[in-house]
Amino acid sequence: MNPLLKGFLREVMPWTWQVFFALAVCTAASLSFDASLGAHSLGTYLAYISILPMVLLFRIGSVLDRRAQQGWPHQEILRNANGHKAPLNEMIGSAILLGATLLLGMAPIVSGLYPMPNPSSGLYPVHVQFTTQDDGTELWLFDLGSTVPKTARLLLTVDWSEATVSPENAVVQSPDERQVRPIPGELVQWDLSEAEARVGKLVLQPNAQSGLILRKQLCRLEIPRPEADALPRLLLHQFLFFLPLFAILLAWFRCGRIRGSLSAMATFTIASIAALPLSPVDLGSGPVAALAKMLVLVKLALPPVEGLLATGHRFDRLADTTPELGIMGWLMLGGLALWLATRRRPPRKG
Amino acid sequence: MKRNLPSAGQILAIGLLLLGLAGASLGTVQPLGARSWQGFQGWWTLRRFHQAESDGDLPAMLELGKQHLQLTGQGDALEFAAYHVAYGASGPSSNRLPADALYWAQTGLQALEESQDLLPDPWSSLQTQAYTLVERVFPLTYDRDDLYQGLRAIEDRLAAGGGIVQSSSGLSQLYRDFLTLPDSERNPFILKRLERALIPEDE
Repeated sequence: MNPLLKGFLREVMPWTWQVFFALAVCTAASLSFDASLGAHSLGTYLAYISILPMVLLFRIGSVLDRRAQQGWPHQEILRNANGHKAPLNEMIGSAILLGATLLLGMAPIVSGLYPMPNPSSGLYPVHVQFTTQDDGTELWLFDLGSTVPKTARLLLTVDWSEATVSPENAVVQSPDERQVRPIPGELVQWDLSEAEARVGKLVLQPNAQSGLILRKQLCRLEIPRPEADALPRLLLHQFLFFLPLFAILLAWFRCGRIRGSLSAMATFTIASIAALPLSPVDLGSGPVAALAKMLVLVKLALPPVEGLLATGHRFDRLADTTPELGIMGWLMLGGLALWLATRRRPPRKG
Repeated sequence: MKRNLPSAGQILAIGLLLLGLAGASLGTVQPLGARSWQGFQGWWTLRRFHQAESDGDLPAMLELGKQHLQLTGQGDALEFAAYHVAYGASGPSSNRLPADALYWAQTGLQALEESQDLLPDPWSSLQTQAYTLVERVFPLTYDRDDLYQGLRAIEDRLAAGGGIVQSSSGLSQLYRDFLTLPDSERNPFILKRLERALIPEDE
């Protein structure tokens, strides 16, 4: 192995840190999957595991700081005239450590120490509004809050006690003419189209003056939870989310000429904004709204990759919602940051 | 005197950091790792809920059930607490004074109603609501609104066929039978069904 790479790996991850990471994974698995004490949630486990790449980010920041104090930038010029070698090795080292950390996250499950929780469906409240058209047709407007997986469906409770339409003639349909026939005493199940899932909003309408009453408080969105074999895929998504962040950290440090710890904090802020699920709400006006709008603008400037970090109890809402173009854009951003990091810069004076 | 001005990179990094901090304090941005903290809080709340259950601390059970729902989106703890408080603690076997029994029944119901918008499986809580109103609250208040509210909750449960978790073709058929009746016979029909469910067939 390249001595530079070997040195970087040893410096970032000495045995004390290796033990800490192993203990952290064991604790996370115990808190999540233990038969009597655990939360029995794959999302919670993924949330605990996602802390480790962040720790790694700050750890690399502190190593970069230490190296700067030891005069590494000056030595790098002597070692390699193009200035590519050190940042490339740091990036490869970061990728190796990130991959190893996430592989370690699979160990408690793969080893059979803990069983995976049974996959069930997540049920989420839905915001509903009603409007009436000129012909008396009522429109049901659903706001799902954000992009949801394509496998999601709406479950609607319809009150037939004042219905003027017979069950044979009753229809609930969308503007694109997809329709479902409601049956008295059964939930109306509406499978979302790709566009509805992406936008997170949809409109349904029953027959004109049908007398069907939608029970607003009982509308739910059902999302099938990823099954046990989804763990490697979800961890790979975390890998894709965090990898460009390490390149951004190196770019901040080398191009921005700022301390490694400050670079790590700035990268952490970018990651927090990138992981923010945007909900279509009216932000209003005022200084707070202006700040929120600024954050939304930064978020919109980044590729939509919040689905890559599908963690927490509501992880099924985010899992598998990231478009491939978004992933490509995010990786390209990382590539650009790496290119910036490898550009020859004269060392700092003093 | 030599003065070091901050570089463009430093200004940008600090500006971004301040923007993130302000966003986090306003709740617009969730810092990375916040979901892990929420997961841990949810786990800890459930541990405290079980402790309150073994201590028989009814108000704490309700409060922790609500907290668990807020943190994790799971309603099992709250539904269990509400059933325990509203239906169990107000029942004849609890040997409480009528005013005390009514207080607990209404407290449990209030917790359920306040959280109905958030409960993942609202159809199962309708059953607790209906039975508490009809069997516990109405005999103590003789308020017709309480009775009708209970009947309404059961009607909603029937309209959903029992909901997604406890769906039953029997409930769906019951709702179709209910719809064939004239308005004046609908409430007595549901009440009769409720009473039949409350009293086992062999008694």
